[in-house]
Amino acid sequence: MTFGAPAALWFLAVLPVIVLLHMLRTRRHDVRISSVLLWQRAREDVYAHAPLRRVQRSLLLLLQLLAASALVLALARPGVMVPSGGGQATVVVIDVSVRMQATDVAPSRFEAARAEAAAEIARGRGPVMVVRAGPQPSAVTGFVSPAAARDALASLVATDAPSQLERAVTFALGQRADGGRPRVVVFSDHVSTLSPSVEYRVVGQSNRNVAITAVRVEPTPGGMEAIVQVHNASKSAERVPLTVALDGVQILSRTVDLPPAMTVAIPVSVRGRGVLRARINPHDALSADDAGYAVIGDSPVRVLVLGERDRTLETAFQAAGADVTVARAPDAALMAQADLVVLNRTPAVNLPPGNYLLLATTSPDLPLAVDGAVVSPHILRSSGSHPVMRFVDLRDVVIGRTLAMHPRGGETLAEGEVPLIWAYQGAGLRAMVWGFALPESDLAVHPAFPILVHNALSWLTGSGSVYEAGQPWIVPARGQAQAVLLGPDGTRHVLAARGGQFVVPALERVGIYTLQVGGRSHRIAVNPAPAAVDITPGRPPLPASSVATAVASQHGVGLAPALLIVTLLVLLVEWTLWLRRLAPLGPATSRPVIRR
Amino acid sequence: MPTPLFDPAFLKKLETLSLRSRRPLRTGVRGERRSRTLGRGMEFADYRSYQSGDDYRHIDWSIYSRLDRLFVRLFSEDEEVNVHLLLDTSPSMVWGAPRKLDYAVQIAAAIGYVALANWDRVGAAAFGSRLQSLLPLQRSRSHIFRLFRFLGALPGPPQDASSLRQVMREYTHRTKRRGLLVIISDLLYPDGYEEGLALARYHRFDPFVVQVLSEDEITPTVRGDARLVDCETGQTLDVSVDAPALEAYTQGRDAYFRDLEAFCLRHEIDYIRTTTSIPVEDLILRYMRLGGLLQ
Repeated sequence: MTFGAPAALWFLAVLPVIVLLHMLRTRRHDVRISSVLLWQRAREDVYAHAPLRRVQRSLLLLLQLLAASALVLALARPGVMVPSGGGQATVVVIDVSVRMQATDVAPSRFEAARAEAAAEIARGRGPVMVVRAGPQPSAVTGFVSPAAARDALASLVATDAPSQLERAVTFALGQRADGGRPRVVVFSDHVSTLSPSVEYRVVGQSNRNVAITAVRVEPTPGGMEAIVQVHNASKSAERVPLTVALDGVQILSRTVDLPPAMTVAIPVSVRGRGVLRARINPHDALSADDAGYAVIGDSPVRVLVLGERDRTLETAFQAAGADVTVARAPDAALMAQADLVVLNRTPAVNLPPGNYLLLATTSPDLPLAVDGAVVSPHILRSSGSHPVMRFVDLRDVVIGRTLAMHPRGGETLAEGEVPLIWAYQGAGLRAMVWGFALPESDLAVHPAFPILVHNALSWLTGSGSVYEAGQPWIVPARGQAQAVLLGPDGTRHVLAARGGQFVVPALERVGIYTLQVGGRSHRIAVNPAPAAVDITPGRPPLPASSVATAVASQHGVGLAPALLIVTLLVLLVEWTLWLRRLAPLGPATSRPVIRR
Repeated sequence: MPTPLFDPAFLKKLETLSLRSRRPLRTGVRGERRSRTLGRGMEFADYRSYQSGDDYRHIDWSIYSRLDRLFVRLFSEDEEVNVHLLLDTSPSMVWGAPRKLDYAVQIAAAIGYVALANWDRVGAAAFGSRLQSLLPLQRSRSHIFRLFRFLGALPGPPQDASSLRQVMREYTHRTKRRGLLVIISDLLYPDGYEEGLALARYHRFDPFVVQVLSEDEITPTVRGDARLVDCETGQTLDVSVDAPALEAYTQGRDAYFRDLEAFCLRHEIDYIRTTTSIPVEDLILRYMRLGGLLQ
């Protein structure tokens, strides 16, 4: 049995109070009678001499205690798990993460889970909703017949990305079928958080897995250097062969020794351009994370810097792989060709659709008001979730003067007394405003500066070349209405611009994605997500209140309404008995008695 | 005969009744009632063997001629009966709806009327803790008016508790003429009824007890926690009246009745128990006749 509000059980303390009240004698009223003689002949227990009387077997007291107990239990909202009824609605949540591709369960975890889900659907007769627990949880169907649900289940495939199972479960729990709460059954290989009233079916046996978790390419004085990270998630040491190839030409082949639960980074010198592909060949259960990719030397991002020249800034953009052009005044033709326009301390200008970085300036096209300046602001907070602020630590940065910005939307990425870094996208614009210019702070001398520039460049232009599976990919439309997305597996999707950008909600496959926009192509590499490397199946120990979740083919039934009805019935019975007790006894005799 | 107590039709019916006692009522005075005593009456009753000293005039010679044995004829003796009406006027009798005292007065009037109609001597007394008023024994039809006036002007209830023992001690010493002693009371005496009734029997009265109770004494109407106050003694009793308590009361009440009935049976005392819900006419004309108290 589970309790929705166990704190209400504290009200059970009212039971001894009821007994005490029953023992207490009320203030008596005087009743004059002809004689107490007959009363004195009654049993002694009729009398009441003490303020407290002994608790006797009283049906009324028992009923009062029963009614109070039932009411308190109803307030605690108890529930029991009962075998699933055939007609109850069911939400089937199936995990399509990369981990489900593991083959430790034949043919794979996903196929085993799908077969079990199909069997579960076949057992019931009620409507079924299928929820796909991927990087972006979604309902594959509404509440449909079991046959339609099985068809929808058959259409699912496991992705190369991690899943957001908790969000999918939350989504499932929010569903209602015919006004009632449906049964929720989750099929996955790993559950980190158990939800009450949810049934979990966990598949998987092995935790042995070695994966490529990242492929980064950094420019070096002698060319480019790729860093391949290989992680051993197993509990034993592994020795795996590694090969690295550039556009199909092998440039490295070696064996990597991996201690348990350790990551090893292998540097690879790269000369030339193309797609770098790193591959390991372990003998583990999951092969989807055995390859990593990087795009080297693709068409550089064109950055136009307007306003005051700042060589530090230009150098930072060049170091991030951008092709930097400098101009004094805004030029419409140059701005149209640039992937990113940097406005450094320029007067406020109107901004046509595009990508902009504004330093110590603003624009009337942005929902941002500037009210003077703030001297020596302190950096108090910075965003931890926005991609621009990833790995950016601004705690020791000193700023001499910044604009007093008052945004009316967008997202503040760093702020002190006033917002310091602010990002906005909408109306065909993707913009970031720094309230200060580089000479007004020591940001340029901090390690955070090149990271911030790199992240800003990637976010503003959508030109990041390395992504993790499951991440969204957002590319500014720059006036284009459509784009074509080519996936690693050769699939082709036409994307429509929405809000001035093309959005791929989740990159679900590992490999090279190509986005064709207006005659230009952007290529990105998608690598396995480090979060999905550990394929250990299981779930946390069941809490006492959630034991019912482990019972197969059961669903929770609330007992509160039944207990309330019981309470009312008991009170009714008690009332009836009380009235009967008040009813006078029949006279001993209505006829005279004669003895002679 | 104008009376506030009964209507003429009821009185007409009463005139046809007479009192019956369980033993001979020897007053020594010839009266209208045919006594169970065999003696000098006119009506033949029985034979018995001749004994020395018997009056020769009562020898049945015809039997002697047939059986050659001497038998004397016996005749019923007509004699009058003294009827003492003792009416309890204690505070507990001024209780109930209708009041027990009013009911008792009607019973006393009816019995007195029956007795006077049969030329018996009738006296009456009202008592509480002691004798309060007394109507001497008289034998005349006109005595009925005095009896009714006496019953209609009873003294108020005494302030102290009633006591049958004290009253009987006083009455038996004051009254020398024995006879039928009709005690009309609720018998709820704090000091008990046994000694008083036994004293009456000791002084050779023939007690006839009419116990009058009200319905709420048979079946109490009080419920819940209450403090019962005795209207005579002022004694209080804290009770919690619920179904078990009422059951206990019923058992105690029935035990009291059983004890009372057993006592009366043991001491050859006629006993009748009634409640004020029984009409007096039914009690007199039906139940007392069925019980053999009236004929």
